[in-house]
Amino acid sequence: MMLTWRMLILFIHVTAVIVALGGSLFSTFALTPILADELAPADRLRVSRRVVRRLGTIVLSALGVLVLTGLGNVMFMGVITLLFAIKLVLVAAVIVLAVYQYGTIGTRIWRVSAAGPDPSLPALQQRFRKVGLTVGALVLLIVYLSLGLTRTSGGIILAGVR
Amino acid sequence: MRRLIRKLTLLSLLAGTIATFSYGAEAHIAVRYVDPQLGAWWDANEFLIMKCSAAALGMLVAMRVAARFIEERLRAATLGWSLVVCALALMPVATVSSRLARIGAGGQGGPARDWMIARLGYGAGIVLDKIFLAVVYFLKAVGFSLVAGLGIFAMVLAAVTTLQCSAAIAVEAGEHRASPQ
Repeated sequence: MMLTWRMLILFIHVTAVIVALGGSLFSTFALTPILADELAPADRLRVSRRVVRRLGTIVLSALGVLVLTGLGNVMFMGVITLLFAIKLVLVAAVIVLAVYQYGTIGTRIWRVSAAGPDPSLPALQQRFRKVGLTVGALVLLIVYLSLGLTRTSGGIILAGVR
Repeated sequence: MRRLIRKLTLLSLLAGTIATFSYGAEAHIAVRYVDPQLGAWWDANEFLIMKCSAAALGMLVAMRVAARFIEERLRAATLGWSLVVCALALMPVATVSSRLARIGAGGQGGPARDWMIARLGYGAGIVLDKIFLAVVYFLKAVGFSLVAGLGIFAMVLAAVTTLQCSAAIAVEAGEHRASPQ
């Protein structure tokens, strides 16, 4: 059956990963370099501060959806493996890092850049990028672990329902 | 707000601990001796109290941890709205996390039970094993609720920053229009 609750939850879960990871990668590797090449510093700053805020909304919402649908997905699977436990810890770390990235660094960038270019901005943007890359790498690792859960036996089974 | 959340965390921890130990040790029988009506009520509701306390504790801990990673200016609004959303989501999260925590908690023995019976004798070992199972169940439910709480907090933070950002953009646009060119 293609139209079941399980399929719907899985679809939303996978879409949320694509949105969270795709948005971050697009911003880091496509948008930021093009803005640096094409716009004057003042215009670039005005655009990039709004991108940071809007991307924050998209990524944080996608991560929230990812977690909630992920828990629903496990309910359907009915098995908890060691791999899944590791994945859950990584998910918690990713959310905390993303909250720090957008809730602290992103907010500071937004506030400091309100009056135009500021000497403290490059350092903040560098840190924002670093944390973003760490989040992206962890999400990729989580995706890889998910493949292990769905495409292999999933490692040591810690618990399961009959 | 932080004080309120701290108090709620302690309250859910206390309620969860009492309900978990009571459920594990089947203490409702003792309550029935003192007050039959209260004992019957406690018997009917102790599991519900246990799973709701676990969900509340997990989500409150998630909120407190995540709040440390956001700017001071955003903290009060995000914590306040997270508390509202978590309160609304308490029953669904409690239901899902208790179902997830049940995976594997069949109580069909294992090395821990054998070890306890070998150390304490059959009677005490069996009682302790039931309490042990209830505690593990409670902690698993707290863990799943914690992850759900982090997800809810992230979504609330997204909403709060968007609203603040929209307000700031509106102000900036107004200033821009008002300033002489």
